[in-house]
Amino acid sequence: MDTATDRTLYNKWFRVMGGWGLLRFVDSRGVDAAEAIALRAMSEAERIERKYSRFIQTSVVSRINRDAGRTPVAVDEETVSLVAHALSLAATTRGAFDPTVGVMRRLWNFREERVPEVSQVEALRRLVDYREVSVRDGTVFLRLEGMELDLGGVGKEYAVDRVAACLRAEGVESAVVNLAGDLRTVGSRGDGRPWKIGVMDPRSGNQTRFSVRLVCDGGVASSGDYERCFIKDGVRYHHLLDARTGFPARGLAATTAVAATAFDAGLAATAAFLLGPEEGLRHLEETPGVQGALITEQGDLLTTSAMRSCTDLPGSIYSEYPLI
Amino acid sequence: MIAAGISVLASPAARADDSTLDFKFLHYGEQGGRTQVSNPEIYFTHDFGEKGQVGLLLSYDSISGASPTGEAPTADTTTSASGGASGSIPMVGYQDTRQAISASYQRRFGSNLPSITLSYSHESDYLSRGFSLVDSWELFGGRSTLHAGVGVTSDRIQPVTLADTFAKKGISFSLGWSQVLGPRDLLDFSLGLENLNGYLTDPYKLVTVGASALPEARPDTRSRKSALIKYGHYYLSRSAIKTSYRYYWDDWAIKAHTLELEWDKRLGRRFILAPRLRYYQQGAASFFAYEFSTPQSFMSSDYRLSSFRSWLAGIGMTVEVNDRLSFELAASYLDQTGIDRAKVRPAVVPPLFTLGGVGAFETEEGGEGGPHSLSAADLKTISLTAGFSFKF
Repeated sequence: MDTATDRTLYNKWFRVMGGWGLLRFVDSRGVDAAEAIALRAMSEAERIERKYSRFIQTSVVSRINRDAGRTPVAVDEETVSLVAHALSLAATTRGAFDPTVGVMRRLWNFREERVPEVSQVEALRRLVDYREVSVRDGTVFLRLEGMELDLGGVGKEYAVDRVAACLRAEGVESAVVNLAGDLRTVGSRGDGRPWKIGVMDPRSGNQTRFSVRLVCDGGVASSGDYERCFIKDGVRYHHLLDARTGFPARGLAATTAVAATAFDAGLAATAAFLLGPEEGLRHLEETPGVQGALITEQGDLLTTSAMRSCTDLPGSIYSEYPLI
Repeated sequence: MIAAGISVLASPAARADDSTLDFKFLHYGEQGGRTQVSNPEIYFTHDFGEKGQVGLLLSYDSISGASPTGEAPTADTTTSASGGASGSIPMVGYQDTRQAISASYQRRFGSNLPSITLSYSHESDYLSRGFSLVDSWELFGGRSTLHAGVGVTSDRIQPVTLADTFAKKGISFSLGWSQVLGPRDLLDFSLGLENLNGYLTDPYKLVTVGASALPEARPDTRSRKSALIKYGHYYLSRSAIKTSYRYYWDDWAIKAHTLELEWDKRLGRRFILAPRLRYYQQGAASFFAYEFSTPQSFMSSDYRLSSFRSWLAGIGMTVEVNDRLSFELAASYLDQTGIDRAKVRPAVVPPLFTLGGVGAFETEEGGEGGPHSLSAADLKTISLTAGFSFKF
């Protein structure tokens, strides 16, 4: 019997994209139906991972990379759209973000804590150039042999939105989808309160610095220098490479962006991180529909003008009434 | 002789009419904006020879920072660069000072060395008074020492959040035996018992019960027992190694093991280096949990009653400028990990929903709660000590 009291909050954790995924949703059709909904949503995340992971030999990205410098690869509309968005972000950041920077992983090894020589990075940088990626007539082509396309910077957030859409299509009206730290809310929380999304503090291990509050559909994404990183001789080296130099971007420890979709939030958070404190904040302010916060390497918090209203930072209603 | 060899760090026994002034400044800091303590301490002793020795300890603590409230971590979910952990431990800021004084007197009667200590300490919400009597009785020409003690405490607690005043009383007994095993070895075994009764609850700790936060509740009696074995060996290379193992158990079901290793090494005439390593592990109290579904007679989410383990590594350095003056510097680092882990829940369980069956549906891969669990016991601390000792 479907009554309000049968509405149940389900949590489903699962492994995805090298991290953890969480589906948290409300449904009133019973455990079996909820399991089936969760399975379909999870399989959508897995589909996107299989399609765009550079670690999977049969993925579209692996095919494009194998044919770099040889021949254009025919792809579907979904792929064309993703690659086009990645190239657009590269243009917006004037090359600080570049979907071909993945080739630098041949030099950077964050597990072995190896810092490459400048000359090595310089030699490889000729293969990092988004302008050498051609998207034409349903094909993607890397013009230089040895180039590598990596859609990791946009694919995860795309998957978050697709999984959220999947839950919507299943009739779920209240949910939050979190794939390895990037997330999307669906509808309202259902109890009159906003969704509460903790934002990790980049330097305190597992503590959150503040919370984002969303009352309806929205995307939240973060970038930070505290994962896949090492400290050598007092210098922190992390995986967010500025494609213009081939070395880690400097100035910021973490960025978080809030937008209508996880995809837009992810683009904004990545761009802001790579652009650094001043230009990054300006980028967030000037991007329509985006709010964001930056935490500098010194620990200072910078926010866009309207960010405080959707967080519990001082100055917002949520800081006055934390139980909301 | 042997004892002097083993305790190479101990100050040489004061002679008649000698006075000693020790000053120490300790800074203790927990990472993540948690508790910070600054503690200057002065210890004065004067030896009257056959008439005995008096000691006076004055101590001042300045305490500030934040402490976990005990509530379960909240947030619907967390955004991060990787999606590692999720949520944060609710904390509350606090600030206090503590003044403490204790006076002691000891005097030798034949082979007995009894000592008596009176102590008093005061915080804004806590007052403690104590009295203890300890005797060391040398036997078999000094090869063995029987030591025994009794102590009582009477505390008054006046939580700033409550109008009431509460009392707590304790009585403790200790009994031990030290045995010289040879020219360079010393073994010591001791047992301890402490019975507490009265207000043993922490008035500032909360527990999450369903969607509410309630004050914690602990039993009003506690019986704490411990057994300690220590072994020291002095090497001719002017170094000493000290090891100890302590087993602790109480009727709140907490069991703890402490294993410690310390090495004292004299370098040249003036320097003593003392690195040490300690491992500690404890089990949880029977009424500990990070969340309760219904109120219980006894319940606490205080991480100090949870199950956790820690490693401590430290090093001390003493510089003996001359026979009268020495300086001491020490530092230690502690890395503590909670074994009991809390899962992050929605900030408030929506009243319209029931929680999905935990066993039936909520699944989580990867042991110990996976990366989505938190523990207030996860803690890294640094202690720094600087001080001097002056005889005059």
